[in-house]
Amino acid sequence: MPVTIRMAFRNLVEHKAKSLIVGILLALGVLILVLGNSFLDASKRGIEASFTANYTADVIITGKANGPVSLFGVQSIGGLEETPIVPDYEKVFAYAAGLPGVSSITGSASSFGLITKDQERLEDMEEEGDEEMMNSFVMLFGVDSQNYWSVFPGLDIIQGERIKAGEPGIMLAEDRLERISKRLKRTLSVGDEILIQGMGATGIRLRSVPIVGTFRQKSEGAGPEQLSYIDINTLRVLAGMTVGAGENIELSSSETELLALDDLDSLFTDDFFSIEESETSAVLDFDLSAILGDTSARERLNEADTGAWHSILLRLDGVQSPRVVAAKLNAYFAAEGIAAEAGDWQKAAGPYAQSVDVLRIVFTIAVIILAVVAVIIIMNTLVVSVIERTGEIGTMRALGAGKGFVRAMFAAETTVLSLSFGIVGIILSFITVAILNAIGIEASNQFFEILFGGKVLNIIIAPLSVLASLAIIVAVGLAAHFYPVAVALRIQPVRAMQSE
Amino acid sequence: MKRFTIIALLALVAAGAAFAQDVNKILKDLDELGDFDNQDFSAVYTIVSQKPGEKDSVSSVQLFRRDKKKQFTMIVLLPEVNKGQGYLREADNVWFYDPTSRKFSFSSIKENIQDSEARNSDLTLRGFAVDYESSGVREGTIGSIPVWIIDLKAKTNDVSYERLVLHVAKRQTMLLKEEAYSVSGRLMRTTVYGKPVKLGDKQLPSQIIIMDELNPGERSQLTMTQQSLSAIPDRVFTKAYLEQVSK
Repeated sequence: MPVTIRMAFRNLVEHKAKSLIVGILLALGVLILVLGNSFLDASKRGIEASFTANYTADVIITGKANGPVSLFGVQSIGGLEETPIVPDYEKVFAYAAGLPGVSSITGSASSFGLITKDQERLEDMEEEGDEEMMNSFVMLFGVDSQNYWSVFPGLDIIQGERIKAGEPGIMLAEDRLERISKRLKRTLSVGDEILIQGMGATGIRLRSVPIVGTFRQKSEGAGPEQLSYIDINTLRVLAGMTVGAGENIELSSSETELLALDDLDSLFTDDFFSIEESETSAVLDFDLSAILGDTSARERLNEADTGAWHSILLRLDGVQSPRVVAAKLNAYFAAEGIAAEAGDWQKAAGPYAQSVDVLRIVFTIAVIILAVVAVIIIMNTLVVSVIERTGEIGTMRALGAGKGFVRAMFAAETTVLSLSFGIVGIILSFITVAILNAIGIEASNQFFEILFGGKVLNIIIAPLSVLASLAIIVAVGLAAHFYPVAVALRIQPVRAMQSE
Repeated sequence: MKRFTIIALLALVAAGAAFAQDVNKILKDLDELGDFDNQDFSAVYTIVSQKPGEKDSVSSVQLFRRDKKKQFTMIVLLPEVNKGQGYLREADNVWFYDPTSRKFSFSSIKENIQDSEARNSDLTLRGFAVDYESSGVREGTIGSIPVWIIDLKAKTNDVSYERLVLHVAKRQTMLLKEEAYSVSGRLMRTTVYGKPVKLGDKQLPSQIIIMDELNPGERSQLTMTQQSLSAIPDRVFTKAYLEQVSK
């Protein structure tokens, strides 16, 4: 063992009280860093696992819009931008399905709906509050029944069955069914029809669909609470993804006259009051039953656009990285000139991933502040402890010890101190984590569910975070002793000896 | 001197009261202009909405009103994809009919019509005198027409806007412009009423432009045609009619 290390050990034992105080601070510093890191890791891992398993799969492909496009639509400033359709769906689907590492693939589309009452029960509605209105809100995931369930096999069916290909139907979460039953004032069960009001690009649509099954909501943390699954064609109609979404209408000039005016006050001239008189007859002289004329085009325009999908979701085999697959897809879209984009689960989770990120950033900042405070205290204590030993340094120098030797001796002392108490801190972290996991702290609200990455806090300490924390604490120790040692070495040995 | 001051003050109060009475009369007159209490009213409204960067959206509706019974029926004529959708109102309840699924649902009176800037309340009864109280009035002009500029504050929570500023023609009571403000005092929407037409003893604007002040460039024009005070058969104000018209 080199002499500096031996002296370091001897000095640490010699100054027991001082070593213990600094050591405890170092151990606490490591504890905070390891726990904080592990906590953040647990949160991220929990949310990611929940989302990829239940909603987003590993990679998503969407069309492009002005804002980021996720499974839940477009996030745009100042309102609701229509969710873009995946262009060249068949081609993109075929290419994505053929990529190495893709184990299953499905199309999906989403929209919002309102479970609404039928006419006979209207009188009940007037008394209800906002909360009851919210209960009838559903986030609709339009699923391609042929392959959606192979991408998301883990759905926990409680009653009934999954939506079958080509058949209309909706699957509701168990608790949502209860709430909707309460609102509609009738007990709903599998087989019953419910009326859904969709609010899509073309306006309001009503569709009655049978409840084919109920499932247990698996949204750990920040999952979409109102999620329901619906057959894709009903969703398309409700969301306005129909054949006739864009039609041309001829307008007369009087119908757009005011829109073209820049100065509306110019309307109000002196002859404004020369008013035309309308004709009035005793009864309306047109055929009231025929005001619509030909309605045959309407049926065609309201047919679901069977090629319209909002996203394609890919499940990977666990070997390929989602980022690599997404990058390959994006390169393909760029080369082919397809206005689509691919991303990982965070893109797919959109606003949910962002709210998690915001919380994580807030928490990270809190941990950093705590760590900085701990480091300052450690540094301060180290500075004081080195300055107190100015006399000792002077004596050593008077006895012929070089500046380099003194520096090396203090460096060794600090390293030994940081490492040994760092390890104590790590052991404490493992004990704390074991205790916390054994207690099984439950998230009392959604905020904590997001922080915990699930309903119960489950922390696993990552080896990397242990090593990083140890390295940080050693670096802090070395940085903290460097300045006072340099100051002490500048003093003449004789002076330094006198300061004792 | 003291007596003079008191008399002057009393005179001011009396003048103020008289003026307030005038404002109330104007508001009542405005309400009456749009109120067909003893007559049925029908018209076709075409709504063209502009949003920057988007194609103009067009809706056309046939409206039937029977104010005496607080009833209205509205049937969508355009766009083709929504043709035959209908709204039936009885008092504060509105039913919505979707002809493609032949289903009815309940919808609120405050809902926007076909995603335009217009609201259902724009096509039905106004109640300035009931819902608002005057908080100030001054004189002004729009274009070359002298107007009363009346500032109104909401009396109830049932209205869409907390504050309205009305520009009412002095020559004959007619609303020319309306500015609607939020609770925080922000201008939300401006409505200009143009080209009046005479219907019986009333005047109605045949063109209305509504500007969304929160989203510059978003505006809708309502154009009224085929307006009539002819009697409407009772069956028009039934759900059966909405179903029948789409058959």
